[in-house]
Amino acid sequence: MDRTNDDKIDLFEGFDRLGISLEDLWLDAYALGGDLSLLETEAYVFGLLRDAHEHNVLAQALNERFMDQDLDHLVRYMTLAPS
Amino acid sequence: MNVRQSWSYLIDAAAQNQVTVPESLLEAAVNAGAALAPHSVACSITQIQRDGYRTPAWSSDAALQLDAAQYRSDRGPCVSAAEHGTEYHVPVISTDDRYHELALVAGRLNVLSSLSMPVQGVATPTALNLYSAVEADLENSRVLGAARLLARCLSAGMSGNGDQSTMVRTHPEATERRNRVNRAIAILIDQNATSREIAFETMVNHSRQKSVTMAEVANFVIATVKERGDRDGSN
Repeated sequence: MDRTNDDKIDLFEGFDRLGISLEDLWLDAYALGGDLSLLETEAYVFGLLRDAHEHNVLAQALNERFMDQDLDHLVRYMTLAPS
Repeated sequence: MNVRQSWSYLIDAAAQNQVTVPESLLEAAVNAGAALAPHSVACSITQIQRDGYRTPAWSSDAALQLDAAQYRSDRGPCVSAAEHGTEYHVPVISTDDRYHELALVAGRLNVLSSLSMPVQGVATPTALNLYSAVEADLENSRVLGAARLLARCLSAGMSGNGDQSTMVRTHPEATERRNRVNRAIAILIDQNATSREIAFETMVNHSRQKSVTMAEVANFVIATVKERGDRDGSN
């Protein structure tokens, strides 16, 4: 069954559940075109900064780790603000 | 400055190799600290100077009163964190025998727990103090992680030594994947006259629907364009 966005977990829960390092997450996000510094990545993980696009790059990076474990996209994406 | 603006300011300050304007930095730190946990009520900064303790920045009068109680008795988590350079957690202030004076003031202000973090690497012994209206509110790993990040930002901004953790090495394989994803994004921007963010979202949606990675989506986008180009070239 597909999860709705409300059922999903946030960046911190995803990061915590995977048990990866911040450097690993940063590198995964970098490979997806992410432009955050390591410090900014940490702030996003704790929900302290919230640009929707950069958040979604990190969510995708975590979700690809979950895909490796045969788990569907668990981490919630943010809706982009209308331009 | 709202809380998000405070965090942006602190992160920027931490990345610089120069001392940030102290007043703005401390103000941003207490602003961010006062909203760190679900039931945070106050945040302050303690410094131990030659003539005694000082609170150079605070989020509310309650924070000032809580700090003052510890200074009067020469005892409390904020004093100890600054002096010893270690974290002091007080999950239930009212039952902590060590801090009687603090407990009296905290009880009057309905403050039930506190966390004091040392700010390392600065000339004057400094601590960041967080106060909450709920017992053990500052104990979970999310709040602790954010509090440590806040103390690190403060340390980097005050000392002028940019946070060393901002440096990380890339791998050629990751750079190659990044280039491919960026190329696919550029193709989608061109094809759909859209923004980088929307193009990325389009690729994410494809990844979710097909349970494939972004690198695979990028390969598909690039291959489709190449195929079309080959076909047009052969006609």
